[in-house]
Amino acid sequence: MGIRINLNVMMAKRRIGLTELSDKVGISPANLSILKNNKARAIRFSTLDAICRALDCQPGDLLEFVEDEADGS
Amino acid sequence: MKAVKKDRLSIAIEYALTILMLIAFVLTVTLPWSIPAVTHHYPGEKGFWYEKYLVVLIVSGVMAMLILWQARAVLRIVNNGNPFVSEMVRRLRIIGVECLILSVFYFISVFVVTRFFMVAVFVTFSVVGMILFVFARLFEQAIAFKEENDMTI
Repeated sequence: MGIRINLNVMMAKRRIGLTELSDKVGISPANLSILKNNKARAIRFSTLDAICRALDCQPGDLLEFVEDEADGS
Repeated sequence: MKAVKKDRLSIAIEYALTILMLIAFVLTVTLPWSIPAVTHHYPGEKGFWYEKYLVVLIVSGVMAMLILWQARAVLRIVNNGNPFVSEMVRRLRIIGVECLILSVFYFISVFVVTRFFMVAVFVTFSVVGMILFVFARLFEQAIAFKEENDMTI
């Protein structure tokens, strides 16, 4: 998929761990891990809102569009 | 993640299906003796009604046991708490195929044992078999929706 989640980059910048972030955001570490590893199919606005608040960032800092290799000719 | 709670009715049905399977087994095994007792047709008599009934009822009994076995497996999946799994779709399709096999057998048998109940069984199992295929397709779609929902964070 063309959308990549840079959650791990933002977490490293803010020096915050998965468990601490999951406590702040209110979603389970397992689901946060799915998000972090780009395994999620979709993200709710409410989740994005909570993560942006917790990490003090913009949605653009978390989401990035990457051209697929198949489409990138 | 559990999608449905265990409920007493489905647990009771699972046990009932086990008992029905045992009853079906006993009835099938005792057919050579029960047919003369109930229908008053005996081996080797004119028209071969004993032999005809024996073949039809043994095939019915075996198919009934196979269907009950699969139905029990379906109930077990439901009682495990998550019915939206590919195993459920597979089991429903197997039951559908078994019902259609039985209906085809009854359709062929109508020409040998021309009785109203043969037509009734043929129609019933054809309809049930086809409905089960529709249910299997519905479950397939439900699994896709559930996976989509589970992977939406």
